Amino acid sequence: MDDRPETRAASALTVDPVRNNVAEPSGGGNAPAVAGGSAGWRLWEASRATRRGTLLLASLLAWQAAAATIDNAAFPTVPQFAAAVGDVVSAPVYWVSLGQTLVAWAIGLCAAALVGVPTGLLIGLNTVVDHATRVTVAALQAIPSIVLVPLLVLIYGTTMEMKVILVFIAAFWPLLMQASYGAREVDHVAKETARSYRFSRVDLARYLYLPSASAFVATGLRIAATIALLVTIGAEIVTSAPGIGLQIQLGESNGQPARAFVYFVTASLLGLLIATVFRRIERLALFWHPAHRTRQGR
Amino acid sequence: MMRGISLHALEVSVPVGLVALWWYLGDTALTSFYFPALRDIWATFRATWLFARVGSDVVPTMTGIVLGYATSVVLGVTLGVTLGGFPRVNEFISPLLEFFRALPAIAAVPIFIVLIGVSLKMEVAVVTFAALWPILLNARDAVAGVDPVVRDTSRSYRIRPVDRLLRVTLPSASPQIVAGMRVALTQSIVIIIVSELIVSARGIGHYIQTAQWDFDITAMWSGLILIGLIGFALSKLFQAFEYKVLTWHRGLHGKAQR
Repeated sequence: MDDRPETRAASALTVDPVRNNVAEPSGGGNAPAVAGGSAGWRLWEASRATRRGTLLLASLLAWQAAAATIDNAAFPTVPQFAAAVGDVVSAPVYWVSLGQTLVAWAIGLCAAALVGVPTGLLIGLNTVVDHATRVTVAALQAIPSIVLVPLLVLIYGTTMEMKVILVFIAAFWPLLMQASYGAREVDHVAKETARSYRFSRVDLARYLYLPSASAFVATGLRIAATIALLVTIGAEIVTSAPGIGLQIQLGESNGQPARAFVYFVTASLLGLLIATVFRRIERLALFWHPAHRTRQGR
Repeated sequence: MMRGISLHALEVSVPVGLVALWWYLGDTALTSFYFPALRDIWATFRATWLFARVGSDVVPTMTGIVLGYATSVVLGVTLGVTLGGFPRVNEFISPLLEFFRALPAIAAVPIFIVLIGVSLKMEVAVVTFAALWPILLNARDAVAGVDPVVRDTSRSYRIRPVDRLLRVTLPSASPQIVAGMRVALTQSIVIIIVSELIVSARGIGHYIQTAQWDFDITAMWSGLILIGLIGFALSKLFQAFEYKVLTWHRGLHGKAQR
């Protein structure tokens, strides 16, 4: 039941409440005891590594089968892919591209957090500001930020600045929204209690608002981090700004699909890594959150 | 009461004020090459999108979004609900699904373009590829997370499997499935625009790209605003759908919280 409170937080937030089930083996259902199973079956049940290994093998076989069926030069076979991995990873271009993508992602995300979180808290805390910005924010955040790429490219060229600004805009909205929810969702009783104890403003922020908002901000960070990676790579593909996206595009247009696939898999692993890291941060932030504890009482 | 009314007035007046400000600043000398006057953008917008190029550009884009999104909803819900019913299979295949969910789907667009060629088929395929995962994984988790007591009760009352699916499992899973569908919808719009920006012979993304090549900034802005409006309209539409589908859920939820 570890990831339950997240459901509550996220569903109130009208954002991606995607949950991972990894921590909850066999999806919560009680697996019947394997009393009469064979030795092989017992090993299967006991060892996660065996299951993971089998899955990897099965996926590769499925890939190979798909490549053989499609029989299109644009879809490399597993051996072709494996050969390309060595080639690509040993060249400095690979690491430089990876760096170019990650730097834009990181700077844009940090800047968005530095501006978006305080703005969101302000919106959540102040009724007047909240109402004044509500419609405008709803309208602006519904615009897919990737459409700004053609405009930003004209202004900044295919540069790092262009990517950073785009990432900033894309990551800004989820952070702002989450922070405002966080400030708004402060427990009413706790607020009244703190007020009647005459907490100073600093103490209110320190002991009430920040802890309460941190869980929401962590969710916002996870969403923003994923979106940021998406738009970074998207911008690189559309504009040929240097980075992983450009390498995918180059591989495809130069008739080297195996190389493009290596970069594509790299991008996917990067996505997986970012999602895992930020989900862990989110868990840490949620660990002691009141929503987590009161949940059991309901 | 007065306060409530004035707050609502504030909600509406700020965006109106901002648009008016932009309009007014355009009449003074405060425009630049990249930020043309709103009056000019509006003129272009009217000439282009009301309704001269609707058939040639808006319809193809929307067709791609709708077909791809519909496919991913059908596939995602079916596969996700099925998978949710088989905990062991689910646990086995889960890492692969997590991989697919985390991958930035935009990165797959160039691959799909070369693989399938520039066509509606490609757009539908790539939108489906992007939008499928959030729906599938949410449906799976929702079904796997159905209250065990409810599940066992309906089973021990020997409710027919069809009824169990339609009246127990799906309703209780619906809030999370809908949440996945919302994420998928934004994904669909982004993906279709990107694929049109990269290479396409038609569509709003293509229009924007051509305007950029011609340095026709005003036309570009009209396209940007159109996509913004479409994104906003689709999210409003989805909100209405969500409100309708989940009315019962909100009712229960409200009571539980006093």
